[in-house]
Amino acid sequence: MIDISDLTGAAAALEPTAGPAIARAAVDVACTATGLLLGQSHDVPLLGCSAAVVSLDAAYAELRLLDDTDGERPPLIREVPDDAVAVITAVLGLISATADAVRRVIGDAQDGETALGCARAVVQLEMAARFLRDDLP
Amino acid sequence: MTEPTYGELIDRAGMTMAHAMSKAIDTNGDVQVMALAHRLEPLRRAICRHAELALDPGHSPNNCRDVSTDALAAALRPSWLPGREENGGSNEPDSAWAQAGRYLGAAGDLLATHFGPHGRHLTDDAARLVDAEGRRELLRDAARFADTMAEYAIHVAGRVADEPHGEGVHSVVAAWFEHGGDIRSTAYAVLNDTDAAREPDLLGALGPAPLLRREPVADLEDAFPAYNRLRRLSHAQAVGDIRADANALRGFAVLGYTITGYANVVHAAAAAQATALGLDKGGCEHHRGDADRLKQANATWGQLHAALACVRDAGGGPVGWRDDVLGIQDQLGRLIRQDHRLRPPAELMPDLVTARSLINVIDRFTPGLPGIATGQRDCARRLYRRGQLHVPTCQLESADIPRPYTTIPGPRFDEMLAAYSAASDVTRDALEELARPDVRRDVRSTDARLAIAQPRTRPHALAAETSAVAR
Repeated sequence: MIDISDLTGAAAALEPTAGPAIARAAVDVACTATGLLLGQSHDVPLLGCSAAVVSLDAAYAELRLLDDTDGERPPLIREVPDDAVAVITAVLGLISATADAVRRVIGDAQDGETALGCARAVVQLEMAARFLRDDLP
Repeated sequence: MTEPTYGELIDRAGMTMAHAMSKAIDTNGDVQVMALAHRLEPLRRAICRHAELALDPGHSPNNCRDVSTDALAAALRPSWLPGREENGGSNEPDSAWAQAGRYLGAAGDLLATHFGPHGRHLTDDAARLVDAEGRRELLRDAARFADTMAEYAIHVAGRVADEPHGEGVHSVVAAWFEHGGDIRSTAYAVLNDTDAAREPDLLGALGPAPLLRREPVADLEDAFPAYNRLRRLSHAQAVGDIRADANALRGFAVLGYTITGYANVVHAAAAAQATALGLDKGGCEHHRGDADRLKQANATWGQLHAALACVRDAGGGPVGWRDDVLGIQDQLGRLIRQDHRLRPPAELMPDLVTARSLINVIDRFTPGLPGIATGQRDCARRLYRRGQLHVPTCQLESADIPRPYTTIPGPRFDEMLAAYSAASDVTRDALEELARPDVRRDVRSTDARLAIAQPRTRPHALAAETSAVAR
């Protein structure tokens, strides 16, 4: 099971020189953690999370187009803690850090295609964050 | 299908009651007597509601109460069951007695549709109900049923009193003597009222109020085409016309989770509304059962997504589905308040009409889900056979594979297939309960009309529904 600190640690790892490959790994972690939340039992459906995973999947796909190398390996995640609020909060932090990292890539981008792909990824990350906040009390 | 009239429902209630009375009375044991008591109880409650409806059909603030109506309603109010069993005993919903009660309740519901929540007259016919003659007709109907039921109860009580039974049974039938006598005397007073001799039939041909047109709850003109595109895509992927990939597998799992999730939320809200309004116990349970079944279906889609969460592939499949899924999520999200987690279900919807309207909308999305689950399972099988489903090697127990990804192990894939089957089966089971097209038309129509009636008459509200379900 992944620990909350793994998610916050993954966010910290994005500072300050992360490139598309590391950002993609971070999105992978965020997407997997959010998706695993859906498989848990909750009082009400996590409808914000269900929308967020689509956006995170899209962000992942955008970033994958930018970098064909294997990049960072995502950490082992097959379970997440039962505390959905804690997980969502940690994922939100990870998404925020990832979006910042991708914005820095945009600033350093040498070509328009990279900048555009990163910009689309940021939009998807922002959407995912908005959806996730819907599930927070 | 023609809509029933008040007179037809009253006639049906009477015939069903006569049928129940014609059956042999079994008082051989304590259990049989108590079972009979439980069968009669729903009918007593229904007759009591009918008498109360006659007290003030329009929920008027300036209602002029009638002494004989008050007396009949008061005589009918005490339960015929011991206090501890009043809410815990079986109502035996399939018994003819309970069915007669439902018909009577439905007749009252039908009348209630002519009034708004605060007694406003929604139709011209409402005036007939608040008119003294109309109320007297209602009261006479209630009195006839009350008199017949009390006569039967006293007859049974007399028989049981001479038989060897336990103390509990004797105390129950003693109450029948006492209450039955009160009911008969008050009913007699009503039925022998000199005005009753005229017997005008003001209400017999009265049907339910026409459904009021309300503003559509949401604009879903983009969501349904998007959903249909997704269904076509799923089918094309299932038959191999279009390449599938792991991302799309997850996307369809999310779609199922989203739709069943919203369906669960609105059904739970309807259940909470029904409970808050004090609707029939059976009706509340019906709503709650729908919500529970959808919650189970939602959980299976969530588990399916969790099984897919770590699966990766080389990509390359269609990507347009994301916009469609997000569009559906967005539009369904607008149907209910975004802050649904912050509020209890009863406050989520302004009223039961809205909840039912949302259910009608969201129920249009659910029937395709089992097909999507089985179609996507076929896609997953095809991808697996081709070695196109991967998981990160670091997630495997024996992670000594030099590559970052490897094909999904057989046991993990079997778990995934089981999750697909569960999503399909549980959703199908839930929909079979929900669909029942022969009764749902009546349920929706009746439910929507009843929810606009004033709160005091709402205890009748789902009688017609439960009656329809029982049929």
